[in-house]
Amino acid sequence: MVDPVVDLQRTLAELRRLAEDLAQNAPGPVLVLPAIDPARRRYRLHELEYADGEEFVESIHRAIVKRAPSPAELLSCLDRYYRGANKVELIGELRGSAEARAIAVTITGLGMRYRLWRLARLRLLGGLFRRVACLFEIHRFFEEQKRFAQSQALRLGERDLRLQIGIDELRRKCADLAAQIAALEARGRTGSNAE
Amino acid sequence: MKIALLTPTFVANDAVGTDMLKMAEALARPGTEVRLFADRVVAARNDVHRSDEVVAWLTDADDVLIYHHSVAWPPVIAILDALKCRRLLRYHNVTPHEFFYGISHDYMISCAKGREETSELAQMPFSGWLADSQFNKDELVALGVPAAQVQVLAPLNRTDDFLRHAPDAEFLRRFRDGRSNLLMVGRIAPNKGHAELIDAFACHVRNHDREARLLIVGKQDYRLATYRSQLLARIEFHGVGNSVIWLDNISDAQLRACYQLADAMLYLSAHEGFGVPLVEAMALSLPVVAYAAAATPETLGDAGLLWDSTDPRLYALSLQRLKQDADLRAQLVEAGLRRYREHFHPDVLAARLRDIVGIH
Repeated sequence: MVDPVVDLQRTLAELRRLAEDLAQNAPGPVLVLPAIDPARRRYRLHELEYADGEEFVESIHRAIVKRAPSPAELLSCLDRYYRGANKVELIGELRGSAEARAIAVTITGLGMRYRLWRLARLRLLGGLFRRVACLFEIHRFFEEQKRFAQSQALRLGERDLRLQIGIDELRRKCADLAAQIAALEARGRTGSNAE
Repeated sequence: MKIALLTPTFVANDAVGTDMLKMAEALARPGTEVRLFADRVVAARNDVHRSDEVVAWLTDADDVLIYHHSVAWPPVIAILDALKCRRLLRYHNVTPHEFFYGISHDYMISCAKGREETSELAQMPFSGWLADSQFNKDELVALGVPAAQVQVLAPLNRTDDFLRHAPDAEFLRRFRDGRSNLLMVGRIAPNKGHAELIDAFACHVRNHDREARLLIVGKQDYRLATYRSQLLARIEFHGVGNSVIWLDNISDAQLRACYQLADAMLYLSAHEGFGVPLVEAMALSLPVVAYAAAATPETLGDAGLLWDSTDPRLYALSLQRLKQDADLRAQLVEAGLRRYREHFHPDVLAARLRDIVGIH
């Protein structure tokens, strides 16, 4: 057995000092989650509304409650999002939670839209309100629908692209295998000829 | 006595599949019948039974079910509820969903569901819990499982089978060409830290060894093609394309050759419930330079150089130091072998498992 002759902690400390003089060239992290800025307390609604899918869910949690969503929050929020829940509704509900109220982030433009959305959800009165609102806001409604459809198409396009990359890689592997089999067969033939 | 080992998907050579197979070997004794159960089997085996047969098979109160949890599988809740026997939960950990952000929506959802299911399972009454590591145990305790009920047992490994294999001669010829070889083993997934690995390797090439080569051994997944593309772009950015070799689907003999050929293992994984390749490296006398994240520090102990940062310069300098300092290298190798023999040898783990289950 070798006695521990090298002091590991000392070695690490020495290497850490040497590292400061060494050149490095890194292109930055692969994983770029939306940043959490604990000091920031003011947002505009459109800053939180612009993202889609998981980016939207991550962004609103990191901005409003200053942390990443838990698995349960991510799943529940994404599920509602893909079932067609309004972004204002999701942002407003999160902002209304006890945790968010304690942090007290201000979201300019949210209050009125969230209140209108809640008004539209009321029985009887809500139905009437939606009909009236449609007359004035119908173009916005279509714009929002179009934007959602575009983001979905983009997401599906990315999935197709990933699938295509996978297929290309499989094709390459099949070609490699075929070449290896051909080489082995050729080697086999050469061997039997030699015999 | 009957013991059922249950998992959603059985894959023969991954960490969970190996743990199950070795558990089955360790627990099989006269008077004890052990069977494997799974919903899906990705292996050329006909001895894995269908998961829906497990409830009918475990009839006695002293029978045992060991459920291996590493992914979401909602049907398990009903299976566990229907059983009247002892139930143990083997926790292999579930990768946090954040790692798949911007890479795979499907993986992100699946991991979030898996972690959500862990919370649900933590509220269920199990006879005991088997965590792969203290790191996994801490997660369970944080979810409300009483600490006294959780035992730490490293995944059973097949290093003894592995050591019996002669290294692949073709691989030895191909890579033993005077260049130094660095090794990373682990599936190609974003929690395994390949981007940081490539940065560290490139830093080493630029500053110390222009001829160094990086062997990346690991299963590739077409669903993570975006991640693979990002890694390829990174390799191109550093200009080390000719020095990085990807090895997928290799045999045990080829993997053994990789361990034998390598000068060091470079391991920058950011999330591991355990880290089986670290045990293989220790068993095969390979010093390790690793990122001290998740369960890596407790697995590796004093058998490697551990860093609390992914700064590539630290890893580059560590590799260079290992090359120049024979005493340091010998000390790490010796510590690794000792650690393997005392804590991770298959016989040690099998005996501990039998103690936990109550089989002698």
